Amino acid sequence: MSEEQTSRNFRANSAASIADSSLRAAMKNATDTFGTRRTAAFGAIPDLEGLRDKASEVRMQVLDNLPQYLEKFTANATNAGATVHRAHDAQSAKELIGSILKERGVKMAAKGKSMVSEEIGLNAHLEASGIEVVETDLGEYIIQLEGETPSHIIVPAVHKNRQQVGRLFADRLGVPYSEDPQVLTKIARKVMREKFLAADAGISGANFAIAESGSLVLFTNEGNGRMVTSVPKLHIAILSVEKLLPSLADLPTFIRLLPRSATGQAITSYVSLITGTRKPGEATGAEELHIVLLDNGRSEILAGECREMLKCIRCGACMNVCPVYRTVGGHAYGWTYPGPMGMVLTTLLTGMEKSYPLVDASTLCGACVDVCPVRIPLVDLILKLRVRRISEGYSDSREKLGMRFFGAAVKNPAIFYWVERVSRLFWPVIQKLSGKNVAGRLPEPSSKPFHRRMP
Amino acid sequence: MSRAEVVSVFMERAALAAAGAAQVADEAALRDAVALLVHEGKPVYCPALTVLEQAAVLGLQNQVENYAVADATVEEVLAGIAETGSIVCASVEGRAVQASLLPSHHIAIVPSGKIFATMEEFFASLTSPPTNVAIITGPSRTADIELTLAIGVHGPERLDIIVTP
Repeated sequence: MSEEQTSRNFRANSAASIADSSLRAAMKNATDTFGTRRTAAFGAIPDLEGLRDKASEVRMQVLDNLPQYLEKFTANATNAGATVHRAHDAQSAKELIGSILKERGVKMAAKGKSMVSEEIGLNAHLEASGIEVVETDLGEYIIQLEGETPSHIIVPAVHKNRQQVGRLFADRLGVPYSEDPQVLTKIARKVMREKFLAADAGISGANFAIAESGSLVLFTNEGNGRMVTSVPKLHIAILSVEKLLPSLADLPTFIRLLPRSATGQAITSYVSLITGTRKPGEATGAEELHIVLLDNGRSEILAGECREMLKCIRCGACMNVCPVYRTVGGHAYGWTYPGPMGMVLTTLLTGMEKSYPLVDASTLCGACVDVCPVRIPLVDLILKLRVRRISEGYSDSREKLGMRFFGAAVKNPAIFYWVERVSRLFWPVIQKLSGKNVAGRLPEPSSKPFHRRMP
Repeated sequence: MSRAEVVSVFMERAALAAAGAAQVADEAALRDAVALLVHEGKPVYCPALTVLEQAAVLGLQNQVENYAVADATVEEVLAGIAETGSIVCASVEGRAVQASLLPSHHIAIVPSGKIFATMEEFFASLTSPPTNVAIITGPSRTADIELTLAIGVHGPERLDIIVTP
């Protein structure tokens, strides 16, 4: 699924998105709705700020002691019958999962929603080795049918309207056209039920992993997450290393925060705890469970100045309130993770060279910081990345030159005064020479500047 | 909170999550409530492991052994959580947790003594979790198309909860 990263084309991507009126209408509808629902859901919570503090503390405690928690999780999950793997990067994770499936002769795998699998491009790899992968989350299924990538981490097909989904189902599934979400949902239920029962393996992500019990925790609404983790005999779960929580006692805090932040629900329809494999006398659970803990750059982030980014629990609240995301949608960001969390994570995971235009994709308004349930200082992180972008040399040479002149001018009132006078005199020429993208966006110098109007 | 308050919060929150919630006084009333909920003649699965389960489906037509072909599952669940209006199904006593997932109608019986007031209390009771634990709140749902709520994606379209003494 994962296509070539296009974060470097963020400006061009954004321009294309802004020109797409149906996309903008869908984004406005979705992000407005999310905002209203989130606010309503938190209205009933006493001491929200205390809850956010606690969640932030727990996440930092995990990050500060990650190797110990990973060791503990691995020991306890193994005790419960799981096989735990560590994958250093995307390639090794894909190869590992591919070989587990091939060795067992798996022809078709049913998959639950996993952003980490999007990050590593798992589907494309498995399909290239002849394994059919069926996305079972309704939103993921829609974009898989269309051959697209997710544009939101919670609602992957948020960029599509009901008419587009109706036409897609009619074209690809041969069903009568309908634009009623309830009818379309029923169609997906029927198609997918056969897939679940026929699948040789289930692939899922996980929202959290509990060190103390070795459990995986999945928050889902549709029930497909429960299907893929309990119906097929073989279950492979992939998650990134920072998803750990110390114990089950920490879960209530995150159950109170994650669904409310994500969709405005007090709790998702299902919260599943998967602890190892089916034991004697049990009638539920995979007979074989492989847990793949993916690093793919997390250790480097953890060692750096932006480590707080790893507190993220992937609720998507930051993107729903971001004026940039709300306008351009998720695809413009050019990789798996969009919005404020996405611009930071993408830059950290894929490097400045592949993603430097993203660090401009913020007005620094701080709306993301206000809603983050685990208090990630996103604005501070964005500023750190902007500094890093300059020091690593990924800025326009004309921008550098301009900033140098501006810096010199504002430090010296005499120079500033003369530059102002000269530029006022030659303003039409300057505008013409520099093009409308530069001087055209600046106000024309006033004939009587403010400092001369002061008594 | 008193037991009665816990039960009342539980039922109120369950209803908010679009589950049916009812309280019965005895086994006869439980049997009547179940009979009213299941569609006549449609296949019903019940593990019949507990006294309450056996009482609930006594005399019910068309009971099937395989939950995958059932229209409804009737079962006693591990616990309730009042704070969230949730029921909890788990792979204990040889139970198939999928029985609460595959049929389109799930009828859950919760003795009032099994309802925890808060999530903290429930997780404290779960000292060594069985392989599969599902905390279930309302029917299966999605909002993946235009954030419009649709009920019954892969799991049950209907969840009915009956609280017994």
